[in-house]
Amino acid sequence: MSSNREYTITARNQIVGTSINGMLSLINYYHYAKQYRNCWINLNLDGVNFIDANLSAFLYSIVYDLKNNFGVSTFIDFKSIGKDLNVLMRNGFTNHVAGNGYQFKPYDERDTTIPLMVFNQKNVDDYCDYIERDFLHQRGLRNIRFNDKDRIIASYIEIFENVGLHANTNDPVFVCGQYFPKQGELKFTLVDLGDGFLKKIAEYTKGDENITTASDAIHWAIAGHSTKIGAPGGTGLRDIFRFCTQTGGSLHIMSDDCYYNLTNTTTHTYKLLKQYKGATIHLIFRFLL
Amino acid sequence: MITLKIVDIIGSKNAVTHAFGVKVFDAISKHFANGEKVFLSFQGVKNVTSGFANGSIGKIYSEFKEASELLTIGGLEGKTVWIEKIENAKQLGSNPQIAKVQNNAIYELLQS
Repeated sequence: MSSNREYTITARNQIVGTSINGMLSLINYYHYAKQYRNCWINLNLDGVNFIDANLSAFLYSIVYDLKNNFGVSTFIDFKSIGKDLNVLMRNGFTNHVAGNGYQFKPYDERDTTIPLMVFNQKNVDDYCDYIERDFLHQRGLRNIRFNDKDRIIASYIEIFENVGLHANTNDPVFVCGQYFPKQGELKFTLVDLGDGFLKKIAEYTKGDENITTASDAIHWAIAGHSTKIGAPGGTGLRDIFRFCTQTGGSLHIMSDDCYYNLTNTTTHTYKLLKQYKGATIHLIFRFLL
Repeated sequence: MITLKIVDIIGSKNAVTHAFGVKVFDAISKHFANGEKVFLSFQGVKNVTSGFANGSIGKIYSEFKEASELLTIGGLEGKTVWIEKIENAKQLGSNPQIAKVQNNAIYELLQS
């Protein structure tokens, strides 16, 4: 296997944040690497001073997909990265990239990291345990209202459940989070490598509403519609949307060529020139400290 | 009245998947077919999603006009969010056309 390639992640202000710009910084690596077959690529993080640790889910899904579908292995020299990126060690990202998977919660002296996890879609019980153990016991959440805690748990679980129902993939689901105590923000990222929103919704609405764009498909899903047959459905994503607008939270959905961003009560959609597979969802909940 | 415990039907404390919901629907509908009333217990359940509520209770309300007389639900004390999901599921199941109109209205609003 050849190993003479290197790619340097570049990011605006050297920050890879939970935003369209942050995601594009990582998607650019995917598009570079998938041109090749059966080789190693050295992924250089020297150009990054800070990365939102929840994005480990997205970056690891790229590492996984490149290996699985193109035979491209990613090497990251973690000894050379700056100390602000050591969160990628604390949350287990380095273990996953090294092929060790998740073995134990890495020691985290700040008690703010949430481990990167890879779940089989059928593994609902383990996923629920992870959410309760690793998300809801963050120190900033210990004092939030009980109903809000229930809604947060429900939001995370609804998104996972939607993958099994709609994504049409046997690939695993990648999940990670990070608590930012200074900002009072809890960030969550879930990635699936399935069909995305548009394919199934376009098929379902053909001859009726005729949804043909990714942004319309996302709006359609958030409005409460569902492609489920034989039973009512569609309220999970709408409930999350409503909770975010009521609490000043954010919901980002990246699928097909659309990046959808709801923050507070304002929504923006962006057309992506470079796409990634499946759907990536970020949830950002905000708490008064 | 027969008591059905969700945790026993689905074999998990996490009532979260649509498939689990359909299992519960199947269990309830067998008794409804015999005209029996059912008490559906959420005792021991740790998590509930809309997907589960819609696949079980929503589907029951969609297929059995007499569901509100035959089905009693318990074990929801203090679970405001679950109660909301279940009530939504009942409404969605009973009035799919109204739900569609509401969803279309929200969709139009999101597009504007």
